Amino acid sequence: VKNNPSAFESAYWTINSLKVYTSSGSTQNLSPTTPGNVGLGSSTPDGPITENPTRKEKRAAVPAAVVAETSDGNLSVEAGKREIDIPFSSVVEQPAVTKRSIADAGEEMYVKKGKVMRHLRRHQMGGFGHHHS
Amino acid sequence: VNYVDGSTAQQEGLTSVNNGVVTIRSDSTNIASGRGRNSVRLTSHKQYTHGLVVLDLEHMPGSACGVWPAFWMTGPSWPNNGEIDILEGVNYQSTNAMTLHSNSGCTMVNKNCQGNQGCGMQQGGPASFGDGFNAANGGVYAMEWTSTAINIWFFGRNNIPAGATGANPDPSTWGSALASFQGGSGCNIDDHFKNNNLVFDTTFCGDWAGTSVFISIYI
Repeated sequence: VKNNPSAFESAYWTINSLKVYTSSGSTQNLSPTTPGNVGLGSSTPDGPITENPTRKEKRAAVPAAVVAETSDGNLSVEAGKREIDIPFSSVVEQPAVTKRSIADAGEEMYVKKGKVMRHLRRHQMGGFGHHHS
Repeated sequence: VNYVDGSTAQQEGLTSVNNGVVTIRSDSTNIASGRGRNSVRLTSHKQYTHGLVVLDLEHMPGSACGVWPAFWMTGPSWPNNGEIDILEGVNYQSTNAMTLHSNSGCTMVNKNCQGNQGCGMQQGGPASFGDGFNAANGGVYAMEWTSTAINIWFFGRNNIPAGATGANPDPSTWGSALASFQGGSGCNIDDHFKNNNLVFDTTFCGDWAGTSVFISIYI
């Protein structure tokens, strides 16, 4: 991974659209508003970290759950996260590596309000809703 | 892996938008140092409990030694609010892995969903993941999360149901899900899954992609 950058030329996502439908009356279309106008998230200050060495690296993150209304009524979705590399003491081929990496990565996206999803309304899912935490 | 911040990602061209199409890259030009290869992890600020997530994806990180891409949802205080892995795999995995992770007391698809192992399955064939997915120009992944079930569908580019990405998608017309996690006596879904953020990331190695054979090249 370290010495072979060209091996990762195909390591990219191309996202045509991402939409989240809830029964609360809105279709939240998670797509950037204007091409080239994606606001990238500000860094989240490093804070105390609870390490759990049994966690997968992938999920060892503390997402920042901040949602802000933008002036046009869209919801700003901003990334803020940190990552904890875990000890590899259970792997035998190499001495245990204990590292802690904390980084933030982010990109603002926007949630556009839309329509109720009929399927969910029809079934009257109890307690259905989205959260603004 | 070294997840960079937003401004760095933009400066290095790791994130970009063209005509509404979002591209998220990992560094593929530099020898990595420090924490490792630069990459991006994108998390929604918004959290969801229930909902229908529809992702129209043209390309995902291709098959490569040590790569671990995922499109997933996860809540605070892992695993107490659950984790839903919609699209995930490592290395040269040939088909998609869909997995739930929870705290104790949740059994679905005849497996204990607790903790790191989780409960899940690999389904969908070569076009559902990695190079096979990309060769077919991707497709649509959809995940419906209700109190009664968590269902995941994959539709190849030429088999996307009408309206699936429109204003009123209707999963009841989509046929059997690729993975169907049914709640009930084995798992009260609402007790174990709530307030999840959406996440895209590409990591390298780690304790899945980095096990045994791959650990020797871990940075």
